[in-house]
Amino acid sequence: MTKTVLKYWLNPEYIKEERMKSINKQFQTSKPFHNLELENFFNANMCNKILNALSKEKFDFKESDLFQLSQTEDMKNTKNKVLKEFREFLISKEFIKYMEDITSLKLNKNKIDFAGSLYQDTDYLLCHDDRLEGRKIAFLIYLSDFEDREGGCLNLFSSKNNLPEKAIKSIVPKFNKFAFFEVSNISFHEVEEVIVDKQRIAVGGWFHEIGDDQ
Amino acid sequence: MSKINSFYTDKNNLSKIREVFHNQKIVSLQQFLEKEEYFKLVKYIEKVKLKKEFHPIHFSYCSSEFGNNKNNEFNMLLEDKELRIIIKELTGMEKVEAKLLSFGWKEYTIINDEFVESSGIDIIIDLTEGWDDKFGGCVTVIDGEGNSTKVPCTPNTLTILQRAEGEHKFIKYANHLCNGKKHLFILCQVV
Repeated sequence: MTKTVLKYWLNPEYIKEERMKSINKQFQTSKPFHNLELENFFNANMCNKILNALSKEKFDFKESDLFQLSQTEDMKNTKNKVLKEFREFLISKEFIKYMEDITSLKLNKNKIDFAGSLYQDTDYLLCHDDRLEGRKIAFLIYLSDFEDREGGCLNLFSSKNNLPEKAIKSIVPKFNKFAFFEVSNISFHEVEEVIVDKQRIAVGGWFHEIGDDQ
Repeated sequence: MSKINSFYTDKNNLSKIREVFHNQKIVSLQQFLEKEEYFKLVKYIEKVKLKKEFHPIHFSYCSSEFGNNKNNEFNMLLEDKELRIIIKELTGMEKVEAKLLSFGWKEYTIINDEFVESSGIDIIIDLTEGWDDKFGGCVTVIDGEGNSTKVPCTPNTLTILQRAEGEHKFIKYANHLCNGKKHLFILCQVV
């Protein structure tokens, strides 16, 4: 496997063969459904550049019965050089292969959804499963530091008979944390309301399953 | 003694209100109950035992239904002759099914794609002093094309709204700004 591209973007610790095997094991045995959070995952300098680039993007406030948050458009057509390059890295054959290796899931090499999100005081995303349009892995790269008492955590729900029961795992946003989970009929999750006057900034999206090329 | 503000039992006023409702599909009648009756109802409602209803992908709230006991303030209001006349005048229908709902911090409803709510008329009687729209917890109707109507959270106000085909209602998530307060209201469906 060509690791030059990976070495440029990722923390070198995460591309060691042994570490990747252990990450895969962690992912396979995680509860309540396949998920993982990897701290200091990317090159920290790159994350700072992404955060800076994101501050120049337009965030649209959106609200519905399910959420209240601000989002950028999908960055497929972004003119921002840093965000464009980062998106290209995420959909590169090297990174897709890396994700396949650490999750044992087969991924579409031509399709990714990727956008920025901003949660401010009282913003939230209620419980849902993310199943839509061939999504295979949902991912988030946090660009802000939060404490769990400040809200904004990604909560994962246990389920019974394919229905959510209660949140049993909480992923706290930390700068340069890479969090992801397999999208399935039990991948129930929510973003807890932000309850402080602080911005929870992240980029994220979905890797898709093979055959979903629309 | 009449429970309802005499302004709303006046035939001429009712006729004007009906016109507004027919044109705008929503009308709010402020200071709907006589003050004394309103506070009597609020006092009763505050003591009612509420049951938690929780299904994460659909709803989280507390509610109470009142059965057939005619001697409680809730049913006495719903059985009130003048209220029935007002509802009949405005909606053309008489029968209502009602329950008391309470939304505090982290409580909400989500539109359920699997059980699509049919069109109809909803009546909301707001019973909460000092509930601010910015707390969430208010009835909102959306039409699927990005348009939404929020029912104002004003105490002692009866709002009647007509939902057309494709319009659905939900109760927006109540956020931490409510600071322990709960939004109590009666939700009736005209059947």
